[in-house]
Amino acid sequence: MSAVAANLHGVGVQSGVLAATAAAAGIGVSPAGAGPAPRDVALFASTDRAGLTDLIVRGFHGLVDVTGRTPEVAVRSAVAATATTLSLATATAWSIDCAALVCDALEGRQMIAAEKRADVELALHEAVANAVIHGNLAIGSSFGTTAESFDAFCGRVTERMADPAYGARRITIAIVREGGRLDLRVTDEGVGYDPATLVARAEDAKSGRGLEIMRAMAGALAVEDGGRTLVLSFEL
Amino acid sequence: MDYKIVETGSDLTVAMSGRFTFVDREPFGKVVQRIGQMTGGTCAIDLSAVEFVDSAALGMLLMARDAAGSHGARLVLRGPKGHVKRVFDIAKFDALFVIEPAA
Repeated sequence: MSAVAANLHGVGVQSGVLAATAAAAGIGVSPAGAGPAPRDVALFASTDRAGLTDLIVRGFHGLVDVTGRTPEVAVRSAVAATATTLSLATATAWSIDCAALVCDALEGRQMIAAEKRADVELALHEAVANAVIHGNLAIGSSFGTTAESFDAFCGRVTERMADPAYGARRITIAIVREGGRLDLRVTDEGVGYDPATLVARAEDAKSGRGLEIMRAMAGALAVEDGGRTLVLSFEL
Repeated sequence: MDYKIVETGSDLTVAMSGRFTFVDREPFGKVVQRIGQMTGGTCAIDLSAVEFVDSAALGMLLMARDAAGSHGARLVLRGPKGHVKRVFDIAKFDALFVIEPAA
């Protein structure tokens, strides 16, 4: 197996952490200030959405959040991936509005037309919300039906997010453009689920519309990897 | 999301703007609380300046409707357009709410 030529760039990451992560991932460290080579990955410690968008637009092959668990594994995966990959800690994915980030980057790279953006953004937003809440945070239930149950649900989200056993799990978004089709693959590190077990919601239920919205917004939707990966496909 | 509440007699108008998603649960919770204090009249949630809603926002609007109904007030949604209107159509919100055109 020949090694893939790739370097790791640091964005807001201490040089010691950058060097150790690159070494553990088996790749080199890019000289400071150098532009991205085709397979290069950026290891970042930042929640500046515009700055992260710019890294994708500038052509980085992968972005890896240093605050997620095992960044060296995520870097290795990003280098090996054929798609542009964004790997975020759960807490980062939740706080930076990563669906808007990905859509800004897709527009910046002229991969989606402006009129398609809202559909792509909403579908991705719902997919990330599911991956965060039901996947990585392992919260099976949803809002319930009252303001009180909604508050309790929000409390559980906040509590799990602050617990590294859940909050440091990763959400990975892979961007695959093939001809006239765009696939966005959202992967979590939860236990997965069997799509056949999902029950239909009542008409006026307060939650459970995410999947329905994704189906309407994306041309096709597929569940893979035992429920850990959701693939949204859009005809462009 | 930003909002402004205007009271006219026993009626309320909540004018919202920007993006309305799960992250707005705290400010919108205050809106729901205020709606829950109504003892009659109509609450209109004006969505004409809202650009983006997610499934959590749909759930929060249903909670606002229930809060109004609990003390005999009614809730209407006003002026959804563009993407917001499309999401309402997908969720069949016209069967769950009175939806009025923009004022």
